[in-house]
Amino acid sequence: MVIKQQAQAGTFESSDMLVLVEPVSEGTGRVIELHSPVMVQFGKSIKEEINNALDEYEIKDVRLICNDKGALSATISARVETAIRRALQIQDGVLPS
Amino acid sequence: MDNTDEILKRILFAKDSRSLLKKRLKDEGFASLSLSLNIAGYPKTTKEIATFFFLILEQFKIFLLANRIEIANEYNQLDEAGNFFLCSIIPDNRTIHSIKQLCEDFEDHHELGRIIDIDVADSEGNYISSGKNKLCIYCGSYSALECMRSKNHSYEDIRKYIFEKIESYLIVQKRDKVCSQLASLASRAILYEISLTPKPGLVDFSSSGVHKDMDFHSFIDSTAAIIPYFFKIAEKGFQFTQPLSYALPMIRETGLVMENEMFKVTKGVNTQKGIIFLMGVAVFSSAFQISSKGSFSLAEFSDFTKEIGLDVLNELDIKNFDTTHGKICVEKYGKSVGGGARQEVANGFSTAIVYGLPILDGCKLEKLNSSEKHTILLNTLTSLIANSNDTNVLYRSNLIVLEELKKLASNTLNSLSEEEKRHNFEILEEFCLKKKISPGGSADLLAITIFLHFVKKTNYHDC
Repeated sequence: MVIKQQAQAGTFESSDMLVLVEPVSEGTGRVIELHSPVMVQFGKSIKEEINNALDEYEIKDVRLICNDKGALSATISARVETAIRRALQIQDGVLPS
Repeated sequence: MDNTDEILKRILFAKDSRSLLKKRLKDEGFASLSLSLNIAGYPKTTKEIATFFFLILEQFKIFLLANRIEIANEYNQLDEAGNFFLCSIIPDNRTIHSIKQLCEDFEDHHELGRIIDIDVADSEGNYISSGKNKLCIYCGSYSALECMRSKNHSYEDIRKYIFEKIESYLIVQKRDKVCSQLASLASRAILYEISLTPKPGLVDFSSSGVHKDMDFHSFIDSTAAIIPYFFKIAEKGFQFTQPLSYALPMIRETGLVMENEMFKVTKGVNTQKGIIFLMGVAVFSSAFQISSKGSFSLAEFSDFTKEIGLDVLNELDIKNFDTTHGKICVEKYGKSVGGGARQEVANGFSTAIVYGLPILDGCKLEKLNSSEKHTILLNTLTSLIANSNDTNVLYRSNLIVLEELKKLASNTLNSLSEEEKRHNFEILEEFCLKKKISPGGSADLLAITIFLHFVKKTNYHDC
């Protein structure tokens, strides 16, 4: 599916993650920017979890900015999924008011 | 969607709404402070955790006030992510980073700081990070985030560990609070008694009664010297688990130190040996009651006191340690008449409970004005003189004088008018001065009565 608009999910609370999704021109691929306090040890596995969520919605081109505050896998999947669904306009709330 | 997903959804939703609350403060131009607890697993709160949270919140607010950080717009909410407090910071000339540093200090210096999570956001809504990588609360050897992601410990283990920590913290907090309160009430009761003026034959604010070796300031001095030890006795009572026969020596161990402190400041004059013993036992028994039963019951307090006082009269027969008035009077008049303070303990403070307490009950002593307090306390003292065998009197006179004193006190109580009462009280005072007697044992019982009155009216569930 194709990302049409900017959207956001999550918070800066502890054990959470703030995810921002932006459309990019076709063919750009997935541009993932991850900021995490456990980047060195877990950067790879967090990116894998993000990619799994993007795979589920068959997103090829996207810019995704993640600010991790110590989120666990289930939280990462949930937050990324909500951001994608908002960007695809299949869930309410684009940017939290 | 399984149950775990549903729970996660609710927790994330709670975090969203917290974030929105913070955003609202930001939109109003405020920096914000929030306090929550790091509780692994679900549910994020229980009755105990909530108690702990509000205790920490109280400490944190005092900390903010002490550091002159002014707050406003306080939100207190309980959601799926647990207990949560949020407020805005009233700007001053400090940077947001220095406020963050203070909050870090609060966490660092707190015994359970690793469970406490204080977030600071500036007026732009940016979270201020300390940049520190906090260690895992459970193992303490790796960073918390690392242990969490690697699932180094099970939720059950971490939760059990956190719950145990919180539970023992709450017990210590409760112990400190109850023991401070009991020590404070004991001190208050003694101060009420020594300040009551006039008292027949006794030292009071305006006269030394029949005493030549002590005055009001002797009592101020010795009271101030013994006050710190009531807390220790309360702690012993609160933590008491041994067989009952261990209680009395434990109380006495601190009591003897108190006597030394008293003699030091009075230069060898016995001002308060009796009340050290009686109040020591009363504080110990009350603390034991409150810790074992969660509340104070007068009947159980009295029964427990009787039990720990079982040996207190018998030991007079076998030991020769004691030269108190009580001991000498027992030899002369037998235990039931001459038992003094020991007899009071062995009876579970029945004189104070039967003849003192009913007069104070039904009134909120602390709410009365000075003159009302004076009247009710003097009535109580007179009733105690009329109904106890005061060994301070017996020691300095004989049974006939004691009976006459009791009769004069009864007459005062039974007066039909205020004028008659004043007159009868004057007769009582003159009798004491003439016979050179001072009902110090009854005065001690007055302090015990006041103490019990206050202890009864205190709510220990909130401690």
